[in-house]
Amino acid sequence: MLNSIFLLAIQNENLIGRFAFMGVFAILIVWLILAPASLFRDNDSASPKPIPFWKSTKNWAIAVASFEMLTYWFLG
Amino acid sequence: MELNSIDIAFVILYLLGIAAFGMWMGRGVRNSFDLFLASKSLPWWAVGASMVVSDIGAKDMVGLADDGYRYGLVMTNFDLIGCVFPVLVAAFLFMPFLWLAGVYTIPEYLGRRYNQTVRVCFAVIWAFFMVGTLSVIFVSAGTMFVSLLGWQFLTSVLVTAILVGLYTTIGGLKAVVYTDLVSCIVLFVGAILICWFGLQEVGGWDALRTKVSAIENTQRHFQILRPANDPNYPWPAVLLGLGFVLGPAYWIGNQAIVQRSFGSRSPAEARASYVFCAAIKTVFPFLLVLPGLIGLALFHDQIGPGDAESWTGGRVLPALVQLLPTGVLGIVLGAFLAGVMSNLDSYVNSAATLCVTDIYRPFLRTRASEKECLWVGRSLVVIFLVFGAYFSFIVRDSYGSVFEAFQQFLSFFQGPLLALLLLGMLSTRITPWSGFVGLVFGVATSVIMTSGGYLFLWCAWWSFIAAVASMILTSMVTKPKSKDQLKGLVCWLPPADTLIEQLLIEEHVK
Repeated sequence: MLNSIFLLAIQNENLIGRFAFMGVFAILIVWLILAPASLFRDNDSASPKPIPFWKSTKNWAIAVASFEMLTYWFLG
Repeated sequence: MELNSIDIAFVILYLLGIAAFGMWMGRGVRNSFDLFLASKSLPWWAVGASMVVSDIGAKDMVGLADDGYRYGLVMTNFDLIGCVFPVLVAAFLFMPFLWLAGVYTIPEYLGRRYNQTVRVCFAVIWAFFMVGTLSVIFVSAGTMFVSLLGWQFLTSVLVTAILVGLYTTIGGLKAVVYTDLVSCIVLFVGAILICWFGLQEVGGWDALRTKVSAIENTQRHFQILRPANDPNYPWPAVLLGLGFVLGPAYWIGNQAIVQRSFGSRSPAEARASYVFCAAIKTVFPFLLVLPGLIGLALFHDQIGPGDAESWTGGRVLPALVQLLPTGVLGIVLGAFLAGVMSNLDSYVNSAATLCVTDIYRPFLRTRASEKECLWVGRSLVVIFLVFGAYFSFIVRDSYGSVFEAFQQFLSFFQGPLLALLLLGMLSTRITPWSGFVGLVFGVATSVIMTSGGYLFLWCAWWSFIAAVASMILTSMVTKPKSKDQLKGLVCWLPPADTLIEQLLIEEHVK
C-alpha cells in the first residue's frame, strides 16, 4: 500500500503539491462545517426565522472552496 | 493603433458617465464618517465587486497577460491560493469582528491592540506606498490615452486627475465603491471578449493546447502547480509564502481593500462581501492569464521566447487587442480605463483616510470636529492627486522600476503585518511592545533575505515566522493588556453589547 503511494508520488511529481493545496481547502471546508454557529449569523437582527440555504454565506463559502479543490485536482 | 469613431465615442462616454455616476451616488456627504466609511451603508454585492477591481488594475491586466505568456497558468495562484483561501478565512474569522471593533483603518486597530508607535509606523508605511504608487498609475493612464486617443501626456494625466478627483472628493467611499462596481462589470466583460475573440483566432481550446505545447519550454504552461524544485514558483513556496503570508496580509491588512468592508451595512454584509469577492476570484484570474497563452500561440514568432533574458513586458495584450472588431475594441479599452480609475480612486481615498484617522486627528488636532476632518480629507484627496500627477512626469521613463521598487518596499512589511494582526486578534497574551519588536525583527529578516537573493515568497514566509517568534518571546517578558482593555480587539472577547447595539441602531436609523 505504502509502496504504491510512494511510486505514484514519484511518477507524478506534482501529486504531493496537488494534495497539499486541496488539503488546505478541505481543512477550510471542515472548519466551516464544524465552527460555532455564532460565526455564521447571516441575520444581524435577532430574528429567529431561519434563512433559506441559498442565502447562507457559509454554504456559498463551502461551494467556492469545493470549486477550488476541483480546480487544483484537474489543473494542478 | 487606429481607433474607430464608435470606439472613441464609447471611451469618452465611459469616462464622462463614470464621473457623473460617481458624483450622483456620492451626494449627501456631510462628515468624515460619510466620506471615509460611506455612513456604513454599502451593500455586500457592491463592496465585493469593488474589492475585486481595487486589486486588479490595468497594470495587472497587462502584467498578467505577460506572465501568462511566460509562465502559464501557475500565475493564477496569486488569485486562487493567494486570494480565495485568505478571503474565505477572513470572511468568517476577521471581518465581522473588525467591523464591530468600529475602526476606520487597520493601523487604528493595531494602535488600539498594541500601541501608538505601531499605529504610526503602519499608517506611514501604507500612506507612503499608496501615494508613491499614484504616480505609477497616472503614467499607466497617460500612456494609454496617448497611444489610444492620440492625446498629449499632460492632457491625459489632467483629464484622469480631474475626473477621479471630482467624484472621489465629493462622494468619498460611496462614490468609489459604486463606480468600482461598474468598473468590475466592464472589466469582466472586456476580459471575456479578449478571451473569446482570441480563442476563435487560435481555433478553440484544443488548438490552443496543441499550439502552445509545440513551443519549446512550455510543457508546464497548462499546470497550476510547478514542481518543488522550480526556480520561479515552486509549489511549497507558493503555498507557504503566498497562501499563508502574502495573500492573508494583503486581504486582511490592506487598507484599500478592508476599508470597503468597514463601510458595509452590518457584520453579516461585511462577511457576504468577502465571500462574493472570493466567488468572482475563482474565474477572474483565468480570464486575465488566458490571453497570455493565446498570445503565445498566436504571436510567439513576433514576441519571442518568454524565458529570454532580454524579455520586455507590455507587448502581449496590445497585440491581442488588435484582433478585436470595431465596437468591441471600445469596450475592452473601457475595461482598461476602468482598471486604472478604480486603482486610482481606491488608493487616493484610502491614503486620505489613513492620514486623517491615524495622523491628523490623534496627533495634530485632537479636538478636530467632524466638519474639519471632512474638509481635511477632501483637501488631501486633491493634494495627493496633484502630487501623483506631478510625479508621473518625473517617473514617466522609469515607471516600471519605480512600481517594482514600491512593491518591494511593501513586501518587507507584509510578513510582520500578518503576524501582528493574527496574534493580536487571536491571543490575549500578546503584549503591546511585542508588536513593535515583531515589526522590527520581521522587516530585518525580510531585508536580509532579499539582499541575499532569496525568492520573494520565501522571504515573506520567513519574515512572518521571525515576527511571530520575536512577538511570542517578547510577550513572555512584558506585561499584557487587561481583558477589559482588549474587549472588542481579540476575537474571543466580543465588544461590550452597548457598542454593538449602537452600531446596529445607527444602521437601522439610516
